[in-house]
Order: sequence, then C-alpha cells, then structure tokens
Amino acid sequence: MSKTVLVVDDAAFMRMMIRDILAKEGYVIHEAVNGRDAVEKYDEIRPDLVTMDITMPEMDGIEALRSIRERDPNARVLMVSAMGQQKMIVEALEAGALDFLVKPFQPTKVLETVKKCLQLQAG
Amino acid sequence: MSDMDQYKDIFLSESAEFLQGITDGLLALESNPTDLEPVEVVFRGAHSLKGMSAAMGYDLTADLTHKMESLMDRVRKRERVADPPLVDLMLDATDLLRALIDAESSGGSNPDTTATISRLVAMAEEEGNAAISDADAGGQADDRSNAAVLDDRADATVFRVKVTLEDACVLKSVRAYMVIKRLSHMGTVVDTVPPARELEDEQFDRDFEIIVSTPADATTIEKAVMAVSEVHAVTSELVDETDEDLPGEEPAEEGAPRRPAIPKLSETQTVRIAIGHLDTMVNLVGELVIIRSRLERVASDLDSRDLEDTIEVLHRVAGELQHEVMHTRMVPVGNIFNRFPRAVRDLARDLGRSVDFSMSGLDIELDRTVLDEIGDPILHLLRNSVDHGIEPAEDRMAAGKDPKGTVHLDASRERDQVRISVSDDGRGMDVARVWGKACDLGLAHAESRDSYSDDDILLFTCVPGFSTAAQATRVSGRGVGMDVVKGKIEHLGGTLQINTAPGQGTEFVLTLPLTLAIIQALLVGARGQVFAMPLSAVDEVMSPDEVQLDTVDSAPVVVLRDGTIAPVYPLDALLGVGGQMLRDPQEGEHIVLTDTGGQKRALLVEEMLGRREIVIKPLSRMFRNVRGLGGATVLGDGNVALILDPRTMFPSREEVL
Repeated sequence: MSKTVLVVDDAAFMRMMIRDILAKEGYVIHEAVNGRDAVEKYDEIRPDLVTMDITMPEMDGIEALRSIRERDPNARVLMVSAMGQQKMIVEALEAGALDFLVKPFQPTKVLETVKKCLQLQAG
Repeated sequence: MSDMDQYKDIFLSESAEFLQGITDGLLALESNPTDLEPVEVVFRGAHSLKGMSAAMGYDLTADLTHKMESLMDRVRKRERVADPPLVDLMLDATDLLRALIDAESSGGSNPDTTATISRLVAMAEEEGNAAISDADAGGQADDRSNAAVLDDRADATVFRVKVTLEDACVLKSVRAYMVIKRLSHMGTVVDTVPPARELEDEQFDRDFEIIVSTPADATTIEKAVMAVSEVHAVTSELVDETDEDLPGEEPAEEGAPRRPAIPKLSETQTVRIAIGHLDTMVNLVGELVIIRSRLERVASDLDSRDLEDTIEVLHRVAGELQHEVMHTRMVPVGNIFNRFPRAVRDLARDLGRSVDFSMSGLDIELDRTVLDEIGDPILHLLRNSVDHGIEPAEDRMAAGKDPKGTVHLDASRERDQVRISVSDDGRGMDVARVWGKACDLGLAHAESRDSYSDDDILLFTCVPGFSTAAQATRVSGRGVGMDVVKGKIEHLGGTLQINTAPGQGTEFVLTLPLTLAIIQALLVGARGQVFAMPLSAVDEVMSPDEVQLDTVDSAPVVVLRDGTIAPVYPLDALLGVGGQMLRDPQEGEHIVLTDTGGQKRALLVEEMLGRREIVIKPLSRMFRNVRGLGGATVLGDGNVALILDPRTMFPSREEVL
C-alpha cells in the first residue's frame, strides 16, 4: 500500500514542489496550509509522514509538531526549514521530529530523507 | 535549473501575494509600530520568499529576502522597534524585491541591490548583537540532550564513534546534534571531539567523534548513527574492556503504530488556472450560447415538440455552464485595491497631508477584465481626493474639523452591477464655481442653469480640458484627468457619478457591470442590417406617435415626460448607410431612448428585433477604433451583428449642425 504524506507549508509553491517530487514515486499526498490546518488534517488523514514547514501563519510548524505528537506519539514528522533556523530545528528534534530538510533541496535528497523517516521508528 | 520552469507561474503568482502581504504588514506597522502581528506577517513573507527564490535559483532575490528577514527577526525578538526609518527602508527593499523578482524570473538585467542590502545589514546590526541569542540557544539544546541520557548501567561499555558527514551536508551542527541525541538514547555521551561548543558552532569539517558509554553493541550503534540523514560513514571502536554479553535493547516502542484511517478527500480544493484558459472557455461557452439560439430557431421552424423539449434542457445546462464559467473569472476587488494603501500613503506624504485611508467590501467580486481596467481610474480618484479634496491640516482645524482627513474606498454589489465609491471628508466641490467655469468654456449657457441638476454640473469636470485646480500639481495634473477616468469607466459600460457637500466632502461613485463578455442587448435594424444596442444604455423604447416632438436650434428633439429633451439621431444616418441626419421620426420607425452618463438621446431605428443575450467578440484590429462600434456578435441564425457603442456613436450637436 502506498504511503500517505501530509505536506504542510504556507507557500503553495513549496507544497507543489514537494508534492511533485513525492507523487512521482507513488506517495499519496495531502496538503495543509498552516500549523492549525496540519493538526486538523492529521487527525483526519493519519498520514504515514508529515513534512512540516517551520515558519507559518496561524500556528507555526513547531507548535503543530508538538500538537500532533501529543495526539499521536507515533507521528512521523519531517521538518522543512530554511538556512539559519538551526535553533528551531533543534527545538523540533527535541519535540520529536525525525529529521529535517533544508530549503532549497534536491529532489533526490527529499526522497532519500522521506524514505529514511518512514523506515525509522518514531522517536 | 531549467526543470524549475514549470514552477515559475506559481512562483510568480505566489510571490506577488507575499509581496503584497509584506507591503500591507509594513503599512500596518507604520500606523501601529508596537503591533507584533504585522511583524510576523512581514517576517514570514520575507522568509517564505527566501525559500521559494532559493529553490528557483534566484540567488539575488534569496539574498535580499534573507537580509529583510534578518532585520525583521530583530523586530520580532523585540531587539529593535519598527520605527519610520525601518519601515521606509523595508518598503524600499520591497520595491527593489519586486523589481528583482521581475528581472530574475524574466532573465532581464538585475537592478543593483548592493546599496539596499548594505543598508539592511547595517540596520540589522545596529544596537546589540543578534548572534548572541543563537549561541545561547545552542548551548541550551546541548544541555537538554545530555539531560536526556538514560540511566548508566553497570554492564555498559565505552565506544569511540567516528562519524563522517556527507559532503553536501547543510547545518552540520544540527546533524551532529542528531547523532548525539540518538546515541544518548542508547547510553551516556561522555565526550565529543571537537568539544560540544565547537560542534555547535560548526567548527569542524566533515568528521567528529563521540565517546559514548552504552550497553549496545557496535553494530547497533553504527546502525543508529547511519539512520541519521546525511551521515556518510560511521565506525565505532571499543575504548575499554567490559563484558559485552548483554545485547543492547533498542528503546521500547511506545505502543503499536496505529493504521491510518482511510483518508477523506478534503472538501475544497483549489487549482490555479492561467487566465488564457478561462478566456478560451468563455469564448467556447459563448459559441455554445450562440448554437443554442440557432437550435431554438431551427426547432421553432420544424415545430418538433421533442426537439423543443431537448433544447429546453440544453438551454438550462448551457445557462448554468455559462454562469459557472463567468464565475471562475470573478476576482475579489481586494486583489487590486490592496495596492492603494501604499499609494495613498506615499501621496499623502508627498503632499504633506495627514490622511486616514480605509477600505471596505474587498471581497466583492468583479470580472477579471473589468477589474484590470479600473485600477488606474480608482487610483486617479484617490489622488484627486488626497490632493484636491483633503485640505491642509491648518485649514481643516480652522474649519473645526479633525486635522487628519479621511479617505474611504468601498465596493458593494447592486444586482448585476458593482458600485465602487471613493469618498473623502474634505472641502467638497463648489457647484457654483464649476458652473461658472462651464459657462466660460462654452459648455453651457448661463441662462439654462435651471435645466441642470447639481450632479449634472459636477460632471462638467469630466469634460476634456476642464480643471478647477488653481494649477496642475505634480500629482493630479498630468494631462490626464477626470475626462480619462470617465471615458474609461464608460468604455467598460459603467457610469460615474459625483456627489458633494461643500465643506463636508466629495464622493465619486463608479457603477460597473459584473462582466464584459456577455451582455443583454436590444437588436435593432437599419437598412436591412441588424445591430445590437447594449441594454444597459437603453432607457425605454417608444413609438413616434406617443411622444411629443419639438425643434431646438432647427434640430428635432423628443420632449420627455419630465420636460427634458433628447436630441433625435437616425441610426442609418449615424452609421452613414443613408438617410438625413436632421429629420423627424417617421411612421413605422421606433425611438430607442438611450442614456449614457445622464445624457439622453433618441435613436431612430427602422426595425425592433427584440432583446437577446449576446456574446461580445472584439473587432479585428482594423475596426477596433471605428467610432460607434463596440464589437460584434454572432446571432442565432449565424449572421453577424455589429454591437453599437452608445458612448461614442453620437456626434456632438455642434458636429451635426
């Protein structure tokens, strides 16, 4: 069965890029446009993996990560960040994120990391 | 990065949204510098644009947005206030950013960013140093990771774990942190080489070592480290001798993973469509509407009940399709209104006026084509209000008004029209002065004052060459004026109205059709040809024997019920297809009373062919500027009818006489 990925980013551009990269490999993609949306969609979809942007309106990625991990301690969340957000990535990893990607990214890197996250047990 | 071209459209449309968000946020900050919400909006906008442009390979854009983000980050952290110099610099940077995105996306020559970037950097570095708080955070995180260590067990052994990261690894310090965190789940991290502080500061190349005390075996350790992304290689060696009999246990799983429920499709999904596709769809639906009327004609000739019933269904379906397609072309007026706050602000600043600008009805929707055209006219009206309407603060105080003037832009829906108003609480317009000037310019006779309403008189300001401003200013006087505004609005099938109260303010009201592509029209015939007259310009249709005729200056006029007069124009003569211009209506002719911006005229036509919904097709380039014609349409019988343009088809009285 193909894996379900919830792509969370406030920029449609970024969602589209990640979606294209993953959909080509057979992942089933859902999208959320901010942290709050992500938490709601997570409950609804229960995806195998979430790719989570950090800087977003409504609720930021770290808050959303916490909220999702509270609801589902096994939730697999992959952070998507920009350069210069070390501090927040560390915070996210502390809060249970599995891994992170730094924008801009290569498609191969995204696939590799997503695959890795799906193999990892949720920490 | 040519494979990125497919993302260019969405990049451009979305970056325009972010640019707007940044601009709005900065303006909000300007009026309320302590509000943190707009700070977040501006910060996030710059941040998102940074990521997007880096992905597109637009390095200059990424760099500029990075600097903007850094400066806003200081404001977020309350290390700097959003004072006017900051807002000004950020607005400048936003303008530059817009130009830069244009240039980088189109391959044009890039504007020079060095000056703005160094100003941004200089301002971000003023007072205090932002880097300190980052370093602190790193140390804190490390402490926490050490605190997460499991109980040290007696049977643990100590390993020296050598880790090599991938060449292309970004944020090496975080990768190192992840490795340490993973190992600390398995035992106690005793030491690192280089020391933790240097790892945090990325003071290492690709290799680092971790000394860990753990009950786990080498394979388990290596597997755990390799599971971290961007780790190129790992080796582990035993540091001291202790018994290794107990295999390490992976941290227990917290409950079995739950299977995801079958995902539901989310209710509303949106798709971005290039406007060209929509235009094509509108054209195709137009064709469908035409074929439908042809079928209706055929059916009535054949007198087939079945066919008529089927066409009835087709009629409904085509109608709904048309409605839906037209709906997809509707865009909220906010999309163009959102550039006005900045423009009004700049203008008020240039003129030294203090103006409170507000907008409402931003979600009212208009056809894209209409919307694209009204931006400039509205901007002109806003300029007018700020420049001529709002008085200088001292005059306002002398008049007992708030020294700060208000200008309001509103949109509202009225049946199948949209009403847009620009109102100010300024000095108002002087009707007597406008009237005086109209008489001086020969636009009206002083003795006929009673036949004009105040509203009519105010519209004289829209006659080319008419301006009551004492002198043209940089802002309002550019050779274009109210005449251009009125022309544009009328070209779009709308009307302009001016309301004013001396000393209290002025309101300009634009009434616009929702859409341009399909209109209701009256089909009329002259000399065997069919013409379509937009119904929006038609007041009523009369027969010559039910109206009172008179002559003014030897030209025939129709005297209307309210006593006003409408000059008579025969359609055939107007179009130059025969007939006398100055003649009375004849037996069998029809009078179509037209109203364009309050001007009434009686159009004489030979035939009345009824009312029809028509699809406007633009005329070919050759005919585009022919006076009196606004396009063409295909009729139910397949014949083409020219669409009359009531705003340009009538010559002035002087031209006729």
